[in-house]
Formats: sequence, C-alpha cells, structure tokens
Amino acid sequence: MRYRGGAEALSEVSLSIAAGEFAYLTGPSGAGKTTLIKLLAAIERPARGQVFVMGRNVERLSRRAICRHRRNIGIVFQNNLLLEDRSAYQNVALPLHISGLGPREVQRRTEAALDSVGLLRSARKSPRLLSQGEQQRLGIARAVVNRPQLLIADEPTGNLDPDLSREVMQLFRRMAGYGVTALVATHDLGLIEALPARRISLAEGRIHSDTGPA
Amino acid sequence: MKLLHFFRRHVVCCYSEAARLARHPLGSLMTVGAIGLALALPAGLSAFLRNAEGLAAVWGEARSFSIYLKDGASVAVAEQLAEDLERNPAVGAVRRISPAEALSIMEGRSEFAGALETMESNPLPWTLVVIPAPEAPDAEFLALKATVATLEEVDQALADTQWLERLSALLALAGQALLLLLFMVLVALVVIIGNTIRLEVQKQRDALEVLALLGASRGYMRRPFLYQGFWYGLGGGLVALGLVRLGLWILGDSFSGLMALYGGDRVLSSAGWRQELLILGVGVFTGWLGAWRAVAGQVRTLEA
Ligand SMILES: Nc1ncnc2c1ncn2[C@@H]1O[C@H](COP(=O)(O)OP(=O)(O)OP(=O)(O)O)[C@@H](O)[C@H]1O
Ligand SMILES: [Mg+2]
Repeated sequence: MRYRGGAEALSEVSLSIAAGEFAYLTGPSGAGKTTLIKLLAAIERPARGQVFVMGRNVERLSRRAICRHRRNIGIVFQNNLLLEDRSAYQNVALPLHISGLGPREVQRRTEAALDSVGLLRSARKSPRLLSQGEQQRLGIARAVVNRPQLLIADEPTGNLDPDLSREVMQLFRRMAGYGVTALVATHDLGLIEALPARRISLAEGRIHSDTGPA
Repeated sequence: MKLLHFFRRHVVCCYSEAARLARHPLGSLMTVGAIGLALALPAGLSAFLRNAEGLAAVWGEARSFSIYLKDGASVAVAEQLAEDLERNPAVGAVRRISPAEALSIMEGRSEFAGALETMESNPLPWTLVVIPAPEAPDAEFLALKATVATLEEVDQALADTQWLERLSALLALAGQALLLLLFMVLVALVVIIGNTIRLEVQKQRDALEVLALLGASRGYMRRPFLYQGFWYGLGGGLVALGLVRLGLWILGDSFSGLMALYGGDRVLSSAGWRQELLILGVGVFTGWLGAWRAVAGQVRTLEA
C-alpha cells in the first residue's frame, strides 16, 4: 500500500484474522496501523496485493457494496470524527439511521450503546461540550451501535483513564465473545498484559511479530 | 413495512430540513423572498395576460358590428330593424342605442364634452349594435352585415375589428415573451438555489466525509440538501403566489372601473387553482433541480 506521492506505508503485510477472533494491533507511531485499518474499510486501496474482509475482496466491491461493507464494520476512528452540529445521541444513532432502521429500534439501540459507555446522561450534549475521553467513548458507542460483524478500533483508549480503558476493552472482548471479530490498535501495553490476546505488531510498514494469545 | 420506513425516513428528513432552515430564519427568508420575487414576475405577467385576453373578448364582443341609421330615422324604424335582426339565427342580440343615449355616453368622455356643448341639436343617429350568436359562422354573419349595409334606412354598417386583431397579435407576442421570460427566470433560479445549497454542502463537507466513512449511500447524503431545495422552491412559490394575489387585489378596483366604462361587469379574475398549483410546482421543481445540481457533483467527489 502506497499513499499518493508518499513512500510505501505498508509492504508485504500478510495476515489473516479468523471470524470471532480478538486481536491487538501494535507498533510505533507511523508503523502503518491506521493505514491497515483504512484498507480493511475500503477507504484506501492496496497498490499491490489483496484484502479480503468477511470473505469478500474489498477491491472488487462496487460503490454500493462499499457502503454496505462499511455499514457492517464498526470503526472507532483515531480522531473520533464526531459531528459537532449534532447531539451525542444523534452521533451514535447515525449508523442506524444510515442503515434505515425504524425509529423505535434506533432509540433502543442508541440508548443501549450510550449506556454501555456511560454517556446516557450526556445524550443531548454536543460532542464539543464533552471531554476528550467522553468524545472517545462516544466514538466507541457509535462503532458498536449497529452490531457490526467486524469491529475495528484505532487507539480507542488513548484518552481514557486505566479503569475506563479496561472497561472499554472488556466491552470489545465481550462482543468478540458473541462472534464479532475485533481488531484493536493500541499503544497501551499494560492493557494488553491485563487482557492478553493475539498481538499483531507492525514496524515500518511490515509485520514485526504476530504472537498468539499468551 | 420497508416501504413504510422509506416514507417515514423521507418525511422525517423533509421535516428536519425545514427545521434547519427555520433555525436561520433571516437568511432563509431572504432566499425564499428572492425566489418568490423572481417567480412572481412570469406568474404576474401570465395573470395579466389572461385578464387582458378576457378584456379583449368583452370589448370586441367577439365579431359584433354597429349599424348607424340615417339621420332622422325614427324610433319605430330602428325598432323594426332591430326586431328583424333579432329574428335572424346568426344574431345573438341587438343593443339599441338612441341618439340621446349616445350623446350621454359621449358627454361622459371628456374629450368630446366641449365639442358637443357647441351643438344646437343632437347630431348622433340611432345606433344598433349587432352581436352574433355564439355558434354563428363568420361567413354568415359577415354576409348579414353586407346585406344590412344596403338597406335604405341604414347609413353604414361598420365592424371595427382591426384594433382587436392588433390586440390579439400583441397578446400572442406577449405570450411568447412570457415563455421566454419564464425560461430565463427558471435558469436564474436553478443557479441561485444551486449556489445557496452549494455553500451549505461545502459547510457540511466534513460531516459528509464522516457519513461516507460510516457507509452512507450517495442518496442518503444528497437527501437533506434536496429537501432544502424543495423547501426553498415551495417557499418561493408561496411568496410568488402571495405577490400575484396581492397585485390582482390592488389592481382589482381600477379594473372594475375600466370595465364599467365599457358596460362590462367583469372582475379581475384570480390566477385560478391550476395556475397557482403550477406556480408552486415550478417553484418546487426548480428548487429540487438547483439542489441536485449543487449536491450531486460534490457528493461524487467524496469517494476516492
Ligand atoms: N494520507 C496520507 N498521505 C500520505 N502518507 C500518509 C498518509 N497517511 C499516513 N501516511 C504515512 O503512512 C505511514 C503510516 O501511517 P499510519 O497513519 O498508518 O501510522 P500509524 O501506525 O497509525 O501511526 P500512529 O500510531 O501515529 O497513529 C506514515 O509514514 C505516514 O506518514
Ligand atoms: Mg494511526
């Protein structure tokens, strides 16, 4: 994978994650974690090689299929990407709205997702008025609200205190327990130690190590 | 069930865009007002033209002609001729205008007032205005006029339809000008609404990018902006409607006065529900088209 006008950000990365697996993605800054995630969500295309997600070759997807594909993935973006002119509730409800769910279902799931990250009481606030950590939790709620088959989180706990971080990670693992595949990029080695799982380590665009659960 | 959700989503989107516009009432109202003014131009002209056509019909009393009897023709002669004419199937009605009546009509017109005062006796002859039966063919009616002109007691039979023809031609020309005007206004409106919404799309670009990352379809991203266009157009159409009604109301009195001068009792006709619906429809269509032009290209550039 090469960014336009840039150096190769990922090369010769070959890995597969089984359905229902929980894996960490680690590596120093600039290693290519976010880039890998973008490939999975069809945000960037590989210059060489192929990316299969849920049995489908991402590169071959039609425009409509890419929309459906993204709806089936829950992503916690590194910079959250919340809409500031909408309330916390509306932000979380967005994926459901996009998927065209009925209003009752939207309300039920949105409230459940907000509750799971402890933000039900801030539902009406704009993300602007939330703390960094709260914003991050909002991004997490939005990623899980649509019950995705694949959950990808790009440093979801960077702004959270240890207790909250562990809680969020446990939420992800619980989801993996229900059959959701989860890939979590993180720098937090303490967290990995506390909740061990497969760990894919990138360095300079290559796989440095890939160790199974301890 | 799916269809129901589909409609519900559209209704909700439609409604929430109205709410969004209402949050910036001043800017929205100015846009809507400008659209309304632009639409009122052709709509008003069209209403004016339709009334002018009606007016021409009244004035011309279609193809009527006037018979001027010889000087000194008596009431009896005039009445006899009028009755004869009324029995003719080509004739719808005959209006009798006595010299005295003719004089009083003329005196009502300021330009003759002075001239008539200087005369000792009434110089005006008996006049019969012959109005054709609605179904009477032109040829038959014209033949009648020619025959009447040869009668002994008749001075002349005059059909002054030339000015009417000129008026009709003028109105037809105005009708074509109206179409041209309508076209230009529509183009201008599509551009105005398009630019307004393009600005809005650009303001929302970051949000649209996020939506695309969450898997929103193009249709989903376009929808709110199309409804904005819809509201702008509908609002503009309503403003135009109001302006046309206001204009007709203001002109109504002068129109009735004008009609009274010609012995008519027509009132200024309103645009009519078809026309009014058409104005709204044109507004909505241009709003939607402008929005589409603004948003479709922008949404297309969102996907790498
Ligand atoms: N949009 C882009 N255009 C060009 N180059 C890019 C772009 N995004 C990332 N890169 C480059 O690709 C490489 C990998 O970046 P990436 O964002 O995947 O790293 P990362 O592992 O997520 O780092 P971090 O931990 O800081 O988030 C970096 O060298 C970066 O400079
Ligand atoms: Mg990153």
